[in-house]
Amino acid sequence: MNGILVILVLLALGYAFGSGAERRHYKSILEREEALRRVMVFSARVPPDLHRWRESRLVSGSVCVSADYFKAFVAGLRGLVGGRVTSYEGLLDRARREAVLRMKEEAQRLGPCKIFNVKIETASISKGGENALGTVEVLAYGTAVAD
Amino acid sequence: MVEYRNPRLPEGINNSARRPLREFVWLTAGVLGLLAAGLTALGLAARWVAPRIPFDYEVGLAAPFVAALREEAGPIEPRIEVYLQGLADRLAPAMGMGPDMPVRVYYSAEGTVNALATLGGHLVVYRGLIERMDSENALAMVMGHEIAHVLHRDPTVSLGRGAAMAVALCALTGVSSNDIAKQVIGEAGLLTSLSFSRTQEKQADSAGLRGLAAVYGHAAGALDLYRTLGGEAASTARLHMDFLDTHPDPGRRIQAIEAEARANGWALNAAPTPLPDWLPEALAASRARLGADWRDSGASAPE
Repeated sequence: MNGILVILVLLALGYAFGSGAERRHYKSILEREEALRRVMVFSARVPPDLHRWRESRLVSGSVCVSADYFKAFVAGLRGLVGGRVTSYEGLLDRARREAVLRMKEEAQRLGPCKIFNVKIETASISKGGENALGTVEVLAYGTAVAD
Repeated sequence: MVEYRNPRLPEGINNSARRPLREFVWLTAGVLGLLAAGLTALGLAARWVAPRIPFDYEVGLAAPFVAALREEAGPIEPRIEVYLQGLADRLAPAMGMGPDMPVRVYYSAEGTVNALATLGGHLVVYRGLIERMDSENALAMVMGHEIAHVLHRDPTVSLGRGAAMAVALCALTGVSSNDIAKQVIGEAGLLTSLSFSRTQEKQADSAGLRGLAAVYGHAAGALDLYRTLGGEAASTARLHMDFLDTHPDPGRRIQAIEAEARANGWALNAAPTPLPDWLPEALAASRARLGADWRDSGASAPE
């Protein structure tokens, strides 16, 4: 009985803090994406008209995001029955976008620029931990070229 | 110079979790529902299988734990144990137990107000319970109830259900560790913590009552168990009423027993057979011995 109570409290805390954090994070992501619209990112390996760029350098942005107890619990249930693990979708979506934003912020210091050959890597850093919540690191990197 | 555009993409492409709470409720309800249905099916299966398992096999399963059970019961009190065994030996045939299902009774000097039946026809009767019985009939009712569990193979059902559930949970959670299964199957502690369903308890009451009436010719003392314990539990909250914990709702039980006794014409108000004169003294002596042995650990009831 006590165990169930503890789980319920953890779920409530996880939901309250987790959804609050997610809402704030999305708000910040949307604002910064708008602010950094001018820094464009491309997956093409080589920029066109290669010789007109003044400067090029490696830029990267990485972020670690952890799921809350509520998300992990729902994902665990989902693991029993299968289907889309929607509770982790937001987590990964935010992590990818945050990583790209941080990369763009670094690139912007070069002045007006574009980023080519952008790659995104995802790693789970809670692997193997028995009761660990899902924590992911997302790294975005590319070649920033400035006029 | 190439022209690039940076269109605004719609939100929610990669994040479809719009209603996390609803998903949580559905998932929890669904998984719990399936789990409950599966476990109920397993429980029913255990109930169907248990009576078909030879009693010999059950005795064999219990054999490794008998020594532990003996040790848990504390110092042996031959006189009390012989008396209790005699009572069981009179009740068991009257309840339809064949010679192929022998019942073995152990006496424990601990103050816990309880009696229990476990795998292999082993019964444990605690001093705390005997001290609260006013007559031999009342004691016989408790023992008849416990013997009925053995007769109905309730410990096997309970163990089988536990084992089936442990296997199911292991399979479901993918836990390869034997922890759960070990707890259910391998630990000696389990023998004294088997729990039975309300239906099983009700049937045990009924069979115990039949045994009581067959041995004494009337049903006097049949209600003492729940009446005494129920009344006492209401007045002293501190007492460890283990028997009532595992046998809830004494009021309804009293009614059911009364109804059955009336229907069969078993008198509830006949003169009961008293407990032997030497018993209270022997109980007190056993308690003293237990205290000397174990310094009255916290395991016994505060008195």
